[in-house]
Amino acid sequence: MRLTVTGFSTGRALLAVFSLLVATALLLPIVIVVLLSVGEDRIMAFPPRGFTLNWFADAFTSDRWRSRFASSLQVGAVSATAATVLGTLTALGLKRTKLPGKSIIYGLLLTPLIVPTVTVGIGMFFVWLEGWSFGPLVIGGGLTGSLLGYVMAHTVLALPYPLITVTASLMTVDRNLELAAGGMGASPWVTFRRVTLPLIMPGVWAGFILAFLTSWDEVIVALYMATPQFGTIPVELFGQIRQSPTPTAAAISTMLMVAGVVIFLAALTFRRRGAQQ
Amino acid sequence: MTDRKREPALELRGVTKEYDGGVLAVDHIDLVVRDQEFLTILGPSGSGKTTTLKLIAGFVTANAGQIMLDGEDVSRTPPYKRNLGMVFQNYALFPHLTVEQNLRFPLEMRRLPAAESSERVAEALDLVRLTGMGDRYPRQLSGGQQQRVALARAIVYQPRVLLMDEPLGALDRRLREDLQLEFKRLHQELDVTVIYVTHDQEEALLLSDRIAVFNEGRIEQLGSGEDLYQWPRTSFVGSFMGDSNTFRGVFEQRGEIGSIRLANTTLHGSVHPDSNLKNGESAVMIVRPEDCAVGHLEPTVKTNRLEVVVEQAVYLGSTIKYVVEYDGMTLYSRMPARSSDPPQEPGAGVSIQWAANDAVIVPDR
Repeated sequence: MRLTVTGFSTGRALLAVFSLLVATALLLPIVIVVLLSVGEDRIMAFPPRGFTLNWFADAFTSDRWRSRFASSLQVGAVSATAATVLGTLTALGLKRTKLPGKSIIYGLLLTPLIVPTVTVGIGMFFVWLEGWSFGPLVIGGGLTGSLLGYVMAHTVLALPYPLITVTASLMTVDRNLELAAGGMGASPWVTFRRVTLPLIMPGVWAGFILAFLTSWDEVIVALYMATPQFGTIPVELFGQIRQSPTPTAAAISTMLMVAGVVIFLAALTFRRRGAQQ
Repeated sequence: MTDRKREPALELRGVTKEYDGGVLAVDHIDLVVRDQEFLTILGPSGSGKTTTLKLIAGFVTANAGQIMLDGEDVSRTPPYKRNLGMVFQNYALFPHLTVEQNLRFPLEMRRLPAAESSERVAEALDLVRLTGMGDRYPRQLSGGQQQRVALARAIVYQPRVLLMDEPLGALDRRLREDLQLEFKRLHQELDVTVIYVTHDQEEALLLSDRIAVFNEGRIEQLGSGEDLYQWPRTSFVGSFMGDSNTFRGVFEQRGEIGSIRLANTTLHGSVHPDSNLKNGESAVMIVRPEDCAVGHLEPTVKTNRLEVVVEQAVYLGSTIKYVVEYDGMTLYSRMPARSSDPPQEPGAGVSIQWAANDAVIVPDR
């Protein structure tokens, strides 16, 4: 209530102007992309002239975009699932066993967050391309431009997210609940499925969504791994804008943005529902 | 049924648990729990009482010794195959399941038919007076109700032994007293064997058939509440089981009555039969405040008597509690309050006295 009394002070006016500037700086690029996607010019130009939804239709009908969309979805879904399963199991292993050197293992698994992706990407590129060679024995290789290659790369990059969210969830699960379940006759597996897993589910979902978005959004490693036959949406966007910036790219970007917002809102509702329980 | 009561339900033989870092939590415990008995493990924190319960439950594995359940060695059996019930201090109800689902959980583990499950769940809820609460989630219940649910969940599958780890520790006094009576009633109604852990000696006295007093990972004494209170075997048991006055001195035996020599006087008392005290050894005399009288008293035969100064006189309704000082020691007395004799004022020089056969002499350890 006191805020309204002092509402007209200079400090507050300055704050309002500053906030507006920051908001504009953040939102303007997004607005421009949306505007570009509906302009009639064949090459992206600002300010756009006219209004058309052709570029959206183009994005939907183009075989190339459709295949890129399918690849992105496959890579994202599979790598997010793999990262979530591995991250959950790792979190359990680190939280519920007496393993020595736990904090070192945890730290090592978080390195994809710290090490520059460019560096990781170079390493991955060579290993995926050539394979691991132990003398005459070579494992892998020829994985660039393949679904498996992309999935493996993105699983590594996304692993920290489910690891962090599930670890955080596990900390809120009372150890006595698991002991109680055991005491009542539940084997360790049944205890996990019936007690631990339902309780850490919000963390598992949050980890999955973050892992999916990591893959969906990832450009650097995806660029290394791409071949003309196989690549993800960000790689295709990057390539097209460099060669001939058609508004289709802007239309795709707009749709990705909307999809991102929807996924984020879904995650938020899920968390709220989880918190209510 | 009464014949079975003498059979051991559970037996610990030389059970030892040493935690990482060399902490000896439980040190060669031998304990026989009889069928249908209510046995309390009583001790201060860090005495090994919760570790002992966890060893029985199988949450912790012993370094040495055997745990026998109905004559079968279960030392290496995982918890989920031991068929024990456990009630935790923080209830440990599954927050994502309703009360009814919580109670069904152990029955599902035993693959009981749904109809029988429903019957048993209703019965158990009825026993803890929570009929009609089955659809609630644990968070919608008060602490006392949650603990009743936890109890119902622990008895609904009729486990061989019910283990309770300070189940009332998180509740306020009134609720605690209500639930204590409820535990006692349920124990009598269900004929279940209970091992109960607490640090509250009044709770132990109220509930138990027998009490095992734990100290530093060992059993100091095992017996009925009356045994422990009237005939403590060590000074630790004496001081842990209620208030007590203790005197340290040199032991001397004269016939049936023993005595201990202090700096300025000699006190007489009964020697604990297990004590094996020899003349000249250091010993402790334990006497309860309610056996001590304070006032201007005539000396009598077979009575210990000390001249003391009143420090405090606290009127407690039916009794008066005196705090008096003797030679730098603080002593306590609790006497029935009678309107005829007014309480002694602080600073007054009076005497305190007690009968020799109300005092117990035990070795000083």
